[in-house]
Amino acid sequence: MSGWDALYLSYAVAWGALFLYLLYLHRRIGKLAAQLRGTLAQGGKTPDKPERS
Amino acid sequence: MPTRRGWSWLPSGETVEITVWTRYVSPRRRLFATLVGAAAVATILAGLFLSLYSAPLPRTTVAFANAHAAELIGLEVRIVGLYEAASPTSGALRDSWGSVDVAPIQVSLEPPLQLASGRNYTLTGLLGGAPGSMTLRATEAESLATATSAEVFVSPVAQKIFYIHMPTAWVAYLAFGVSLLSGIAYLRSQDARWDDLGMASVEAGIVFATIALATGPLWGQEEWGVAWRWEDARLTTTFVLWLVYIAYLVLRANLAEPSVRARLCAAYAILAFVTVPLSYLSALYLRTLHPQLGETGGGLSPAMLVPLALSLVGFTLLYAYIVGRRVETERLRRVAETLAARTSEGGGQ
Repeated sequence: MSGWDALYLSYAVAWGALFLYLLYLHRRIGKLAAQLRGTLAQGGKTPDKPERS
Repeated sequence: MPTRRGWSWLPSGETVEITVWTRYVSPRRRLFATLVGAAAVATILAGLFLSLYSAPLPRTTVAFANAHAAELIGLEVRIVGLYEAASPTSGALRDSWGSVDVAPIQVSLEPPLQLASGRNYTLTGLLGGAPGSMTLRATEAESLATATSAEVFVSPVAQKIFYIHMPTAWVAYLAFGVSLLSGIAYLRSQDARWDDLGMASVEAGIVFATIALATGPLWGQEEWGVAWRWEDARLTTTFVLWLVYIAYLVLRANLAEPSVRARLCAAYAILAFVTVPLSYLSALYLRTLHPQLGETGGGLSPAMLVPLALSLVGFTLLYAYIVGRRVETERLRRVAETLAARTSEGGGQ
């Protein structure tokens, strides 16, 4: 492995890890939002906005 | 509900997420988060770009002999390092003394070198592959000779991994520090928002620590000729740190009661933080090949400092962005759980 290979691999590892984590976060929000929508469809009232933190 | 086209590769919750984010997060906060995320990526890319084109890191010869020949000639010298080579007289240390090529591993010479009189000696590379200094200690006299160069690397190209490796390690330490403070704040106030922040910070810290742990061996393989050494204190303590914080997530995932979970996790985050100074200081006080930036004033030239500073700022902003999104997720989870409980108890009222 040359220095360039190591460097490119490092870039791939770093950006790949960040991308995967953000995708995981995105999916998590999506699932929660879908759960929220499902609850609403079952007759749940629209929840109040959460208080400002 | 608004629809978005062209995002079919994303999970089905995408449009819902957009709606929920729009509904529950104020426009000013959304704009701020977007700006932080964009600034983070732009700053990191600028830092990496500069590191590729600005930092002058040619393979350099450190010529110490011209300056210190008078002190060294005729003396027995021992090269003081941090590791003992598998074979003290083999490897890159050649006995063609016109050019002593020292591999960036510790070289302990047995028997000590006899420097020939009237010759100049050059040393290529630095112990540990680190910016900083190499010290030659004379065994028959107390004189020391030091050759200092800030920018000497066996693999100048692989050295550019530094601009990812070091900032991500720094952000991991920062993240675990935030989780420590959040834990203390939670135990004092019992405010769930501190618990959210602590958890978000640990998660982000693990992501950055993982990057640092993965990129380090890639660099080490090129610079040291070895990717990992279990006997290296810095490497091992950082790996232990990573495991300890992984255990935080495992603990958290296995506690159902929110208040118990928050309390225990806060206490755990406080205790787990002991691994951070252990990891950081290990390079100073324990046996390691890993350089400790700052112990000799950094030794970095402005050409290296500017991209490093940009990367540091960028990765810190990215950490802030990630923690912000993660805290939002936790708030959303609380909203969803509260609503589900209300709906099941009161028929939707």
